[in-house]
Amino acid sequence: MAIENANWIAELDANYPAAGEMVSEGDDHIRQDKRVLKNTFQNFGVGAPVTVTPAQINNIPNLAPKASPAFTGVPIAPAAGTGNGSLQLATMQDVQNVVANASLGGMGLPSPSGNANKFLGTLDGTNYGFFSLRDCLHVQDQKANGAGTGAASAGQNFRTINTTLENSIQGASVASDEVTLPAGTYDVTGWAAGGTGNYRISLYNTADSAYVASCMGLKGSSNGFGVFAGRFTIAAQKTFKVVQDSAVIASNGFGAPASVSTIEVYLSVIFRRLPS
Amino acid sequence: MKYVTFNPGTRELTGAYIQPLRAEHANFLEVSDEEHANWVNLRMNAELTGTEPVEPVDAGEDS
Repeated sequence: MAIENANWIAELDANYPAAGEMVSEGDDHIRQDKRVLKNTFQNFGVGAPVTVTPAQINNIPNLAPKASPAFTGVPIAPAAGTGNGSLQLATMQDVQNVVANASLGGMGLPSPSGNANKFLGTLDGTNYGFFSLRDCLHVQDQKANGAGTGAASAGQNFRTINTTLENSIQGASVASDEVTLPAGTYDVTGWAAGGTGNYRISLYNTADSAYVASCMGLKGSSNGFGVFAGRFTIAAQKTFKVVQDSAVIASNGFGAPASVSTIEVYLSVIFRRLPS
Repeated sequence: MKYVTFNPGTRELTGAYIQPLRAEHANFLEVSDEEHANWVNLRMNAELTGTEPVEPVDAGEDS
């Protein structure tokens, strides 16, 4: 008789053994069948039964491969969670959490707090910062309607600075009639009312005892004023005052009231810091 | 911050500023934009907790 020499299921002949074959060849068939099963299902039945159904096995060709799978439908996955920097796949839930918790600080950008009306940008191509197109300090000497200014002395008179109209320069401030400015380059324009007698109005660097900008010498009258303008650079924080050098003592020597039912303004100075 | 400074003895306001509070300004009151813009016509109330209008002063003598 013939016994097929099979090692794999496909090589088995379903017609063997034929009827009437010798019983003594039965053990040969049984060993061959066991060899075929063990060769074909080498890892089956080791420690656990195989429970998948034929349908599940038949669906294997439809499953996505591990390498570069192209999913269809609506694939889902466990959420990676916040603060997860692993190679785990992110879900839309993770994306939403990241967006909801996103902040400028988280992206390495400065906080917008305290930077109203400023623009985020870079001047050095390396660092981000907030900048104002009008870094400005505007100060005045204001008084109530009809209020005068008192007497000016002969010599150096420091003018009153008691009002800030605008201050968008970080680090700039006013106290005791003195303006404090941080390092930078500034354009300054200002005017101050004077009195009778000759006088000159100037911006004075009190830290360095130096005149920064002055008006021309004025032959005073009761309604005169001096205007000064200039540009200066300070490498570190400095303090400034507006000084009036007067030749004579004069009442209302820093300006006489207009008394026209509005406030009196006797001095106004605008500092504009140029972009560095 | 916007604040005014005042003399607690006379209740007169002495200045109006836009800046972080300076140490020299021990007597201060944080104010609204409207108060800041009109500070020369205000004074502190009796409790020194807020501002109130002040009567216009007489016109000074021109020299």
